[in-house]
Amino acid sequence: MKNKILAYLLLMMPALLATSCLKDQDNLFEKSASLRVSEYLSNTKRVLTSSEHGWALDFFPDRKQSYGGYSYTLKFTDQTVEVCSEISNDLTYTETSTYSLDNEDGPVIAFDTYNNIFHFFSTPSSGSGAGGYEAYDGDFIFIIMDISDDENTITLKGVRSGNILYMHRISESIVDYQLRLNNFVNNLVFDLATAEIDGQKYVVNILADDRMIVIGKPGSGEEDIEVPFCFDSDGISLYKPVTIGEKEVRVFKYDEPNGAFVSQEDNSVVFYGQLSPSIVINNIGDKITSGNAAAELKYTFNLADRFTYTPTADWINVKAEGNSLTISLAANTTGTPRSGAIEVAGNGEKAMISVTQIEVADLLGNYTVNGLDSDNQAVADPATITTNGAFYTLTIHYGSYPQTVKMLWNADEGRFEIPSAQATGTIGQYSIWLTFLNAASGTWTAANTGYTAYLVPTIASDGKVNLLLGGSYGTYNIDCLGFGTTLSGTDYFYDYYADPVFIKK
Amino acid sequence: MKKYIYYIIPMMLLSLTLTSCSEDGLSSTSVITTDSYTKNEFDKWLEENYRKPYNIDFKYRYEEIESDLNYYTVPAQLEGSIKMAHLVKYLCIETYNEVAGIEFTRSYFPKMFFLSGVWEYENNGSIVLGTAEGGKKIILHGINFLDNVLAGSYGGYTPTEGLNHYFLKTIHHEFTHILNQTRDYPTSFRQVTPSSYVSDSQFSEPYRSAYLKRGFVTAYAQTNSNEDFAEMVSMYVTHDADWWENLLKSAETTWSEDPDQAETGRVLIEQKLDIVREYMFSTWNIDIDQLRSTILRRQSNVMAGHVDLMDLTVNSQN
Repeated sequence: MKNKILAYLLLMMPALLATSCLKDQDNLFEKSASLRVSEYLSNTKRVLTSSEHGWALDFFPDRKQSYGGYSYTLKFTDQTVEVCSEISNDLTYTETSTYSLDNEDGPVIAFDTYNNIFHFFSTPSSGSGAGGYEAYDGDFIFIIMDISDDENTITLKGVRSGNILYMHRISESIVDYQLRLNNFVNNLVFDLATAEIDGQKYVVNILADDRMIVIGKPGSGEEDIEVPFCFDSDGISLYKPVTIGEKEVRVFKYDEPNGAFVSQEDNSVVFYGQLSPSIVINNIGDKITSGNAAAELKYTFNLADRFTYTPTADWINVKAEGNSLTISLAANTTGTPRSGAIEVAGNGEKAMISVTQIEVADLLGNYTVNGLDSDNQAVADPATITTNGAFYTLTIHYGSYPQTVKMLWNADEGRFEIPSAQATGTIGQYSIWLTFLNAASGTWTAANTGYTAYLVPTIASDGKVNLLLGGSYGTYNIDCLGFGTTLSGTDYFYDYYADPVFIKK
Repeated sequence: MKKYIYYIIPMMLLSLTLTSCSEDGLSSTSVITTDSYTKNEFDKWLEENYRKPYNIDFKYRYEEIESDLNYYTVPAQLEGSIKMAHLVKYLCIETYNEVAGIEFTRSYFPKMFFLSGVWEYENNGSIVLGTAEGGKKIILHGINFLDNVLAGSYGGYTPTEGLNHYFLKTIHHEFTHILNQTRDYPTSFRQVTPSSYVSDSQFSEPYRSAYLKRGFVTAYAQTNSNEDFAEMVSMYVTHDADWWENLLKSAETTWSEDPDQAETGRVLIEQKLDIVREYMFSTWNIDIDQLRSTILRRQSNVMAGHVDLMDLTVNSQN
């Protein structure tokens, strides 16, 4: 009996073995896994190289994204990738290196030879902390997570940080994109915005330097939402979608006429910028000078009517409408120069614009120039302004060496204009030329022509006419009026009046 | 008993027929795909100068799988990689060709190089210059500093010293390991300073400073006899006779902290060198003095600018 049971058991064994054969083992996919990955990679390469101008990558280094996001633009060819980024001092600088597409943890793109721009956040150095032996925890190898159906967006995942990054097709060159982005960032004048979504008010703090947005719900007791962001050429992209009210948003475009960021996912989510009066000052200056005749001054800039303008004198009138600002001045019949001001308010801040009615004839005569010299000593030297009818001469008594400066009167702007590098006289054996300086930066126009400084008339609180120095060279404000000479070779001498005020006697 | 056999036979037949029931025809396309990038001029140069003649894979493109994940490293610059490929070829590969014949190089020279851009930085501030794995693969770090090294503006070294210290000495050192692993060196070498090896304390005081007096050519040589042997060879062949004599002069004393050390460092090092010289000659038919003079001659050719380190002309041998 025992033998039989054993025999049956033995006979059953082939049946057990046979079951696995009866299944129809069709391949789930037509092609092998490696062939499919390889096809996916060549398709990725086709998409990457298909963009005529390239791609913009919102790059977030660090697994906690603690540095925020930085814009990279990339142009792929068959063998190379050309890289440009807002992190470079020179935005027109690009660097070319190689890339490869491989199958490692899935389909992977590696920026596989060194690129000073691309590998900035991944390059370690001796030491600890940011940029130390762990670099900035930036990636240069990414898993390709997704290519959108329209082939305009590629989703990447950093192999080291695990950060999800988005790359989108651009329609201008990689340099032009960065220039436009930089222009956009520089002109973004507010860091505080408000939003009202489904009746609920939100306060949005845009920390441009930290690349961090903080969204608060005042009075709700709810915790603020903090999310890193990256600037695009025409808006901002958050690191990941956030939910405000019921709405999930990530990408915002800047609506310039309204000074607002509009969500691309749901256009009812809008961050309205809170506007600082510095926008007005940046556009029209903080000193307006006009003649004694009645005048109507017109200015055009975005968001002009979003501010409150309060004149301090009844002869000044201000009207703002859309993007235009009109300042009307009544005729000055008092016989003497006069000045008033316009208070500009916005975003809880205030700024003053001085308004002066004066004729150039009122400016001729004797002055004292007050300022600090190059040894930081206060000086007060006599000066005069005379005219021969065609141009004006400012004579400054620099010690016992009078220096004469030729000036032109700009009636439209109501100010004197002074060309740089003109010969002004001598000090001992040396011929002296006029130069302009920015004291804080330590830079000057040296003996170069082509720069212009201004003397702008205002009326001080004591009723006296003052002339104030203005103008700029490069990115620097002119705040010193200087006299220079070449001693020998590259050995220069100069002295100057820092923040000079010409007070009329 | 017979019964079982009867039962078993049909069962076996059945199972034999069953195994072939799935029709797994072989696909004509390979599942192994290669070429994750389009080959450039340098790739083609490497194919002709490394892969074809020596079957060496010179990986200048960063691959995560080849890197040490314990460190934050970055890729090597393309230009530095091209220069390094020429330097390794001219100063190492062709040196061994000249001294020991091309078949020797083909048989024993490491089969893979991997380059990375900067050093491996430790969290304590120290750095790793180069690493080798199992005598097959050598990782050269710091390729992005090569231009500065060659200009003599890195780490306070002259161009030649810098090139040896940061890059080439590693290769000679690792190559010596490979030779030792293939045919071991005489046990007499281990007996010269048998109790002086300090393993992981080699860079701690007093050993860090006293290595010469203790009979070692570098602090690292104190690790164990294998490292000692490799350091002996790599230091000797990359430096000229004057330099070596100066090194021995600094070792002309015994180490005061070890009363058991009877001989001066100089004597110990010279004893080791004799064994190294004999081993290299009798085992590998390599005269280390000829090896040294060949390396030095080639080094001076490089430093005199006689070798175009950026030339990617391919002399097709077909």
